[in-house]
Amino acid sequence: MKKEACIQISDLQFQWPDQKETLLNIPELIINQQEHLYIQGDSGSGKSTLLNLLGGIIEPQQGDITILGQSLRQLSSSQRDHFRAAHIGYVFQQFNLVPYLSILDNVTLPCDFSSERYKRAGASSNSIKKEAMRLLSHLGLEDEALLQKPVTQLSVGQQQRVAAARAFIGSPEIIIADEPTSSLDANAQESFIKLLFDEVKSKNTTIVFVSHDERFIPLFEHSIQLTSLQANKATTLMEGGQL
Amino acid sequence: MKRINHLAIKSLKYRKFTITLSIISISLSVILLLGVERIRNQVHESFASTISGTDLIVGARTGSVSLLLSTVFHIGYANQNVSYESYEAISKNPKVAWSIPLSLGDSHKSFPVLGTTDEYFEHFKYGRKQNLEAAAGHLCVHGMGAVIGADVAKNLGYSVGDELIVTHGMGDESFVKHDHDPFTIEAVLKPTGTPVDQTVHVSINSMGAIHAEFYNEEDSLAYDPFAEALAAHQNEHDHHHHAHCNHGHSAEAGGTPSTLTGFMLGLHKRNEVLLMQRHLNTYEDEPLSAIMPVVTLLELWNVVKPIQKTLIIISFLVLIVAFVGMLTTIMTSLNERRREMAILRSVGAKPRDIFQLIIIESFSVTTIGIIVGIIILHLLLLVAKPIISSQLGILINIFDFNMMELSFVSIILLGGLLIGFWPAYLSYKHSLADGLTIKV
Repeated sequence: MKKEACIQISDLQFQWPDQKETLLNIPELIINQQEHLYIQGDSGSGKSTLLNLLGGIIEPQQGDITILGQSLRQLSSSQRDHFRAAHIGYVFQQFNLVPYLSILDNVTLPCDFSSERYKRAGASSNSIKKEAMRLLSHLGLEDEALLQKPVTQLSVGQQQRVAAARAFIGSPEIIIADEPTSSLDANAQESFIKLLFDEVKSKNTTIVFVSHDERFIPLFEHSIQLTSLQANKATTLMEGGQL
Repeated sequence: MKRINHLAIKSLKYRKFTITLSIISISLSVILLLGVERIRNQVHESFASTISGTDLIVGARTGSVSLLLSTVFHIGYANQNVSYESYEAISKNPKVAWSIPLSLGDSHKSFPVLGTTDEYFEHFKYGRKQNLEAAAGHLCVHGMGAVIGADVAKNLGYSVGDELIVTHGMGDESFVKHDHDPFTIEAVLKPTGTPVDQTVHVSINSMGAIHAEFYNEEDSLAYDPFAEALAAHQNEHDHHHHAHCNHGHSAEAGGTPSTLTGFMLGLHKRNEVLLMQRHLNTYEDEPLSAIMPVVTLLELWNVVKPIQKTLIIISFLVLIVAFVGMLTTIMTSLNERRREMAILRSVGAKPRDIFQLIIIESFSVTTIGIIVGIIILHLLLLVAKPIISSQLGILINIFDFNMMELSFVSIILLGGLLIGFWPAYLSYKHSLADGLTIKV
């Protein structure tokens, strides 16, 4: 079965305005639908920049990123914001939650910005609130008393699971996780990743997992070194091609 | 739009402590600014209505403001007096409807004593052409009767029937006291909010009499037949103490004074005021000054103007302090909110949504501050209104916004909005630079 490309990067070059060297130079990267890709990169290697590029927050100087058949270059910045809201769910390293929103409001936040995700979440359960509850209980947060707590009183692990529920609500096609486990203790790290996989099992979801940590590589079907994607590391390009 | 408002409200609620402080400081400056303006307005109105219905005030040749100050406000001395002859002659002028003689210079426990006649209570008007009214007693000053203003009664604890002694000159410590000639209080006036409240009114004839007696009879301190006569008269007067003022009762002790500080005139025809003024200013027998009180009151108000301007400026400075406080609160929150902005960006918020989120904050704080300030100000005014009107005689209109106040409110609102632009723009720039990842 030939899988369709979900994310296509071609001839991408990016350089921050205040830096002399090109930070990212990726001739080609194709991530297929339903693929779980682990991108390993040390700090400063441009992981965050790549995530910002994928989200359409920043634009590359050269090249293009095509997501779900849509070239980001053809979209205005406001359209890219909308596109990101509709198709990408994010989980960050820590402090993932908006402190003044309740747990449920944090989970349903993407539905406030994207009518697509609002509709899909509503279609999945009867209301977005029910869908949020369903996702939270899937992730092991079903205690009523816990849900009433301010998000700032949750443990880091609980916060990360709320963040995961937020990423999943409204079934975005892509989940981008940026070091989501590095603030968790060792036992929780692996189970968190398994929770992510569990949640997308029945769906057509692509996961891009970015971390500096190499320990989780075995958990993913595909993995890649960010440095190996770079054009100036011609020797390791083949490695990337192994995907 | 709606989702951002929704977020902004929750964010404000989350930081209610600091936000409440900002709101309080804005409210305080609103209370101060509008309060000062409201009081300035009422004081102006009350000041302008110190005297009304009097067409001309005449005194010896002097400046118009000093004549007004001495005759109406009882501040300062008139250097020169007007002769009684001139007063009589002018009073008989066919254009003149009524005249009130005024004699100042004595005091009672630092309250000025005004020598006048019963005509004063008939013709002197203040505010919206109101006559003086008695809170107690009858408005008679002939004989040794005295009518005291509301403040005099309140401060000295006097009531009808009490006696008071007039001192020559101003001030408590004056050693020349006419203590053989006590006046009896016939009436206490209702508060007017004018200098009348601080004035003791007595008969100009009795005042002339005690002066004549003092200066003419060296041994008056030892034995004073006049005083006895007055005392006898007083007893007789007591019999009709509660009767209405008897204008036919003209058995004044001491007869007429030789000089006056000045006098008030009412004319038959309003349009003859200028003509009469010129006539008096060029009076041949004696150098006189005649002023139209309304015109001179305006002149005097212009002297006071810088004070009210200063008050307004101070209020605005307080407003600026409040704005700086609000700005500081928002600015300090910006850094800790960078991660929040990144989260919002990740779920699809546009940079302009971030801008809006911050601007709504300053706008809400300002708006709520204004509303709270106006409510508190009016509650204060409601509480203070009876006190102010009884103490100062100034009636404060409560739910009556003038144009000045409305423009102040819009200035504050606009100021709050403009000040919000700065942190909003910073946050907007941060969110562009940070994107989804913050290196804090």
